Amino acid sequence: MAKRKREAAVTSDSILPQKKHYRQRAHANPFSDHALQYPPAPAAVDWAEHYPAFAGTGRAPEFADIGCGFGGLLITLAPLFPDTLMLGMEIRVQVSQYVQDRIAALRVSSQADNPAGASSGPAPYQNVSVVRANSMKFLPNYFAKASLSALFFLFPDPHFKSRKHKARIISPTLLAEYAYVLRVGGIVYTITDVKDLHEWMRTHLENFPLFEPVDEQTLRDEGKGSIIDAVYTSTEEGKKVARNGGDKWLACFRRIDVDR
Amino acid sequence: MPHYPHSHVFVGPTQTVDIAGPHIQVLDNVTGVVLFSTTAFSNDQKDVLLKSGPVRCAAVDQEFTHVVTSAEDKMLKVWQLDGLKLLSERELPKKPTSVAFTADAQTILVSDKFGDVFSYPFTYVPLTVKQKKDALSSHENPSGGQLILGHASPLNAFLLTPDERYIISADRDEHIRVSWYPKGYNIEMYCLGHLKFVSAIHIPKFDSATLISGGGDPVLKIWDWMTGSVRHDIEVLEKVEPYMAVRALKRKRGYEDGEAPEGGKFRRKKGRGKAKKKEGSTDAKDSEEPETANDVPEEEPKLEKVLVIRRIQSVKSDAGPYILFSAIGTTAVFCFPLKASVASVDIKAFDFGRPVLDFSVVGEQTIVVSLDGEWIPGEGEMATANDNDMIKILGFAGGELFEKEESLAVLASSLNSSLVSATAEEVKKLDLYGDLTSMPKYASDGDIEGEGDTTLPIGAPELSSSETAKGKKGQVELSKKELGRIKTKQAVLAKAQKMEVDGETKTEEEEAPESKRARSDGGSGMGA
Repeated sequence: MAKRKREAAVTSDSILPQKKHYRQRAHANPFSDHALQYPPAPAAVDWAEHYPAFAGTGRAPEFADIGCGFGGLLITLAPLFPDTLMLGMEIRVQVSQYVQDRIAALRVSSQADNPAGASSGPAPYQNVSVVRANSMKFLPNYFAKASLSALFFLFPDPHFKSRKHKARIISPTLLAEYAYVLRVGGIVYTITDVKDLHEWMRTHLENFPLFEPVDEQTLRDEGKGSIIDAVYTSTEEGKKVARNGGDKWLACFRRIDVDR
Repeated sequence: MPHYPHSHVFVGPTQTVDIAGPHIQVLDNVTGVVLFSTTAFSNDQKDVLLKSGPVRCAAVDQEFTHVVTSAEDKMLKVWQLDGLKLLSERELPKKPTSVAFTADAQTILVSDKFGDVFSYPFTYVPLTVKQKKDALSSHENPSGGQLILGHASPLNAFLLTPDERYIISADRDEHIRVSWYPKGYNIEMYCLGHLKFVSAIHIPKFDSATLISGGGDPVLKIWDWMTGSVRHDIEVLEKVEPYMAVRALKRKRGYEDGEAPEGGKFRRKKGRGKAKKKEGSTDAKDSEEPETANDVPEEEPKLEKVLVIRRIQSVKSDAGPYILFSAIGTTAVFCFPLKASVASVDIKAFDFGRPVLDFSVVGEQTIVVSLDGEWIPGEGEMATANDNDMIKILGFAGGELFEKEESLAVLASSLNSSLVSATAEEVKKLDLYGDLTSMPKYASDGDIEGEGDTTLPIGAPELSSSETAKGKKGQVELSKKELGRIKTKQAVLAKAQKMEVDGETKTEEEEAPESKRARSDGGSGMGA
């Protein structure tokens, strides 16, 4: 009941898309050949299509939200880092379209609320975008080596059965790809409400030679507190966990350099 | 009685290792005498060997003292060539796709269908405690191998650079990855640009900064693998196409996602698929299969010519450096000079009249070619061979391949006579041309449809069109969900247009709403 009321409140005069029109089952098999479109190489991506306000700047995304779901993190971070391009990646068609429509609507509505010329920077939400993508297979097709400063894995699919562990988004072999796209000093943020998955992600990241653990306070001291807050609270999944009074397990890691 | 063709032939300094079906033979290069053969094993030993099925992957160390093989049973076997003694066998976690020795022969590398590369020490020490899959183990590892790297797609090929500081791996999803060796977790670079699977990679001995790769694309790519940049594309399909003898049955996939092929829509899809094929493929093909293709009943299986590059090698000859290559199911070995611009006339073919299975370069300019000598052409396929030889020896000089009678002649004739007989069923089980069907991703035909609807990069925050969402629905009535979406989108557009009218001053902002309207007008037009 509560849910219905909330949605009704939003719909009346909003131009934002509604989640109920974009429902899709929660899981997608990352190993199957989906009818995906993806760029053959990062150089083939025209980021100006995604970030028209930044066209001509040669800028590429620096934050990537892997499995961005309904886009809560992107929408929260967008105004906090207006000059940083962010990309969400989501494998579920309907969900990625929801985020796409949501960003498009936010770009329009925020402009309407904020008449032209009021601010000097880029218009709101011009720095976020989304792609439907299989990150386990095609991350390097989107991001060049060391191009990212932050990677987010927020409330990923826990794949409880041990038979399904290979489908988890954190694994020793995938970590090599994450280390490749992250620049030295870049941060991997992981959070989950599943203790076992937290242990899994933490252990694999700790054991991976190119990452070192970094605690929450250190990141806050470095001025990344707003990001941490967003990681905890901004996503739909995070809100759901909070509503249900569940625990959230955060683990962050820094990309380090190693000698040959 | 049919015979097994030679799936792997390793010609060493004095001996040759020949693998045919499940069997291994060691021959003397000069006399051609079969020194050792698993066909001479006792019946018990042979039963074990035959149970493993045909050998799929094999490698010989540089010293030519050992061969490592893997058959259908996921067991990695190390053999001593002298006496063909089985030294060890260990269980692999997944079906292997390629094996290799390091230069010092102390390490064996194995790539698999799951996309991983494991390394194993030469000497097998069985795990004392049976490895248990604990809650944190991400990979099965029954023989205690060391995980070097892993892709999320099946690995088709890998190689170590000549200095063994890097390992280069190629997968079914177009990636070529350059990782440090043995610290494979450190990815140095990706060589990206292939649009189809990569099935063969090669670094010339004389030019270790260069990588040549090929697979399903109509081109071979020449890379500077350290920087990941393409130096040249070599158009090969046009040249190879006339020699493609074996046709592949196109798998029907991509219609499985609950998108039942509904009459007109399905036709269109098929038409598109054909159109796409035409771009990449050749005119010759079209003349063979004229426009009637669109009217063919859907159920009729279609045999197609499919390009799958099998092997790429190089030779340094009097005519300069040359690249040699072969493709699965084609009857020729091809060569072209390794130079800046290679025209179609520079690519030369040596035709055998029956499919080339594999080839290897021995010494400087001798090429040992393994053929499907007893190949029986299927419907619409042609064979022009005038003998049944399974092995041919080629020479290379002056930029041309030619049949070389004198060198290795005794060995070749011995290989052609000491064949291992097999039943027709067993030969069929080899599935020599299976890669023609299994390598390509036909599901991607669905994408072609998508491309038609939108030229936008996927998901750029324009409004998504409802056709992309439910693309296959076509004219069918819209669901409540879709109507809901369209309503909201129209509200966005209305607002955007209103702003457009209101503020003429906003030059920059105008662009976005403009393009949005254009797109979604088209979209809702098609939807309604």
